[in-house]
Amino acid sequence: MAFIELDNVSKVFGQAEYATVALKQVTIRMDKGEFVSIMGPSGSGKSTLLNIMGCMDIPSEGEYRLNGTLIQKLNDRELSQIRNKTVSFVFQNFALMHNFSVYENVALPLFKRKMSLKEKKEKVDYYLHKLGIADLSDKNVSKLSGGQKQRVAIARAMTAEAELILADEPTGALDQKNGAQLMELLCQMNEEGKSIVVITHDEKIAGYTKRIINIVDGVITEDRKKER
Amino acid sequence: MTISSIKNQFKAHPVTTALIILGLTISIVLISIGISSVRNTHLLIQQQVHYAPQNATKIELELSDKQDVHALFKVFDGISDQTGVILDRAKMFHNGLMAPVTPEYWTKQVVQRFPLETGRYLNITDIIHGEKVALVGKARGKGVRTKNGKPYILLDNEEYEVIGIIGVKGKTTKAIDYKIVIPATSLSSTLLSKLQSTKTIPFLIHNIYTNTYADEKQIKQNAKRLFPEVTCTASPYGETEGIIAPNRGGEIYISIMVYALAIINAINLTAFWIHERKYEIGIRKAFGYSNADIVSMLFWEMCVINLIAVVIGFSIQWMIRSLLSKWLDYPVEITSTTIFAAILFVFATAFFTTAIPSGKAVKIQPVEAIRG
Repeated sequence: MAFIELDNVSKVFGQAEYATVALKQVTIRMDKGEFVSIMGPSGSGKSTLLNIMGCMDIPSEGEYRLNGTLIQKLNDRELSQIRNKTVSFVFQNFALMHNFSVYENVALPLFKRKMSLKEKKEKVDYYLHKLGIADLSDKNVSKLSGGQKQRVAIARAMTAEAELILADEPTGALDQKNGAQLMELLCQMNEEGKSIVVITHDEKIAGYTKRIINIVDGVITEDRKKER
Repeated sequence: MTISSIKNQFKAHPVTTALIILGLTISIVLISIGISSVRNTHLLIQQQVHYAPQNATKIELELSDKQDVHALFKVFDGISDQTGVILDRAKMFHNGLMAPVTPEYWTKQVVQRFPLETGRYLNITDIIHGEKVALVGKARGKGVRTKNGKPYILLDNEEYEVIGIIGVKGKTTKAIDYKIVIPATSLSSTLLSKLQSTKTIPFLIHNIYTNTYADEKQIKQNAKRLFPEVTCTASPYGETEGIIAPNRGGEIYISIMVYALAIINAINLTAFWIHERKYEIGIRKAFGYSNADIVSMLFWEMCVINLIAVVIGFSIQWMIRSLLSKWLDYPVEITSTTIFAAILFVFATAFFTTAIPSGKAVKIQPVEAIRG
């Protein structure tokens, strides 16, 4: 049984003559510990695919199984549990809560965990140290640079300790140096056993991954594994 | 977490948050005033009932011609020792206004109806001799003057010596604090001539110990014997008759209206607030918040906001309580009832202000919200 199983998944937005087909019968199998990049031009459906993988959206047709669980059958509470424990995200625009501190943002995935405040703090501090941003803990995220923000976003994804990390154009808002550092971090996380899916249209970024899936107009045109 | 979230909301949306708190603060002050008003009205009615004539009967003497009012008191001869007589609906000019006055009459012994702070009560000599003496409520202190070292008040421009001050020590008892009691045999000439020109003279007979049926019978017999031309009618006097309940409807209505407006205002502002927080809610959903978690978070945040409004509202009320009491003419206090109402207010308002806008929050799609 694969970790991610997408079987003939289609996604249609809108209805009747206004309907837009974002994904057409996409089938993907991904095992635990894989590092995959999904490439394609703008509007090709790669973000829609990532949202379905991350249980933030559900397919219009087909079946999506994550770790053996059929996602379409789950209710809001069950989906939210998967988003909290199994999947974690890194977004292009960082998706940090403005006016909240670095600590509050990084601790976000722990809100439902049965842990004491002390344990939560220890965990958050551990990842802040790991990413070299411990000194920014009390700082408001809106006062950080792009590179620092993305590190906070990565720290948040790591704090969740989810098995699957989904990154939507994670280097899009970063300069080359910060982009490379971020990809190194993702590689490190993959080496630690995390499954990672990165959306990108940058060949260099895709170069860090072990498998590249190309998607055009909602259809998978290429799926190749490579050695790094 | 909720407190820290509220702190962040204050930083992020200071105007919206402040407006919500302001609306709710005004509302809590008005609700508290409304509660004080209802409580005071209830207390006043209770006091009025407590000090109202007991086992009373209304006696109306319908005169055929101009009649000597003093002579009319003969109809009360032979009534029970403890039965008192009050000339009903009497008013005399005092301190620039027509003030209600209680002219009392007893045939043999005086039964003290009102507590005294100082001085003495009317006695039978005052009644028999028609002494120009008066008992005044403690709130009428301004109208009391001094002449030759003796306090007096002017009623219909006639001097009445103040022999006692009605009231309960250390307590405001509105039902009696404005009383003026005089012997019914010492009416002013203005009031006498007014009564003499009136065809019907209303009396109340009352007895604290027993009913007044026998007295009523006696009065009727006396009237028939002494004043054949006078018609005497008797009717029961209800316990709540003559009770003047101040109309607090306006204040309560305003309180409810302001509360309703504050809620509508808070709902609108909360909806706007949620719209402004779409991005944050989207992120929370992406990292595992369910719709129920979002609604619960908003509800508890609104509870805290309401609690802040309650604390500010009560603080303001406490600071200006003497001013409010003076202005409204009743004590505006923070009591267990107002605190209980405030707790109810916190949860009810939080529920109302979260229920409708929460629908919007539930519909927020994390993907769209994060993309903006």
